[in-house]
Amino acid sequence: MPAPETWLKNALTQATTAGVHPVLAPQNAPFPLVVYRRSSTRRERGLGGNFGVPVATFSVSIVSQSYSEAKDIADSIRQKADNFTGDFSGVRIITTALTAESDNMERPPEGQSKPLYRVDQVYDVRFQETV
Amino acid sequence: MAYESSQGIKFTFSGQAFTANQIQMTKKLSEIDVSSLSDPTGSYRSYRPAPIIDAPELKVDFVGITLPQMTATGAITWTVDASGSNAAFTANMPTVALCTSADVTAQVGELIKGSATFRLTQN
Repeated sequence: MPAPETWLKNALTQATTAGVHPVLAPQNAPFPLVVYRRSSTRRERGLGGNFGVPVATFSVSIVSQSYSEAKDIADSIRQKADNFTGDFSGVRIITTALTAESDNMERPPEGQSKPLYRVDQVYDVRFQETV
Repeated sequence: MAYESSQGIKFTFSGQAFTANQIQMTKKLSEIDVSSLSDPTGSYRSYRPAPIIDAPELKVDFVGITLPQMTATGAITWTVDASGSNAAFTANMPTVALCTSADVTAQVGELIKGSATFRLTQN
C-alpha cells in the first residue's frame, strides 16, 4: 500500500511501545494506545488536472490511564513525525506539519472512576501520488 | 449561453511546460484624448481609438520554481484534451509573446508557486 499511512504507522510504532491502531482500537486493547485516522485529503488541481501532490490530514489520538504518560507519548510522536520529509516504502513524503494538539478525556471504563486521558494531534502530510 | 471548460488546457512558452492553475488574458483599447477647447465646461472628454494599439497581456499562475526565459520572444503553445470542448478558446489565444515579468513565491505549507506576465507580440 504505497500511501502515507504506511509511513505514519511506522513513525508511530518507532516513537512508542504503545499499541498502534488504524481508525479504531479493538475492544479490550491494552492502554496506552494510539489511534490514527486520515480525516481528509486535499488535492490541488491545475488546468491540466491533479498535480499529484495532495495533502492528507491525519488525526492521531494517544489514550492512556495516566495524563503524564499520554503527554510523554504525544511528545515522542511529535519528535518522530513532525517535519519529516523523505521516501518511505515507495511513498515520497514532501512535508509533514503538526498543526494542532489538544488534551481531552474518555469516559472511564466500566467499574473505574478515573477517566482515560487523551491527547489529540493533527498532522498535515503532503505526499506524492501517481497520476 | 455558450461556454468552454478550462480543464485540460496545457501551456508552454519557448518549449517550457508550465503547470498552470490560472491563465488570464487582458485586452485593452489604446485611446487618444481628442477633447478640444471648444468643449463646454463639465462635458465628458472625447476619446478615439489610437492608431497603434497595445497588445493584449497574458498572466499565467503556475506551480513550480522554473521561471520563463525573459530574453526574447517565444512561441506559446496550447494543448487541450482531445475530448475537451475548449478548442475554440485556445484557437483564439496568442501564439508569440515576450515575457515581461515573472515572480516566484515560497510559503510555509504550500508548494512553490510562480506567476508570469507575457506581452503578446503576434496573434
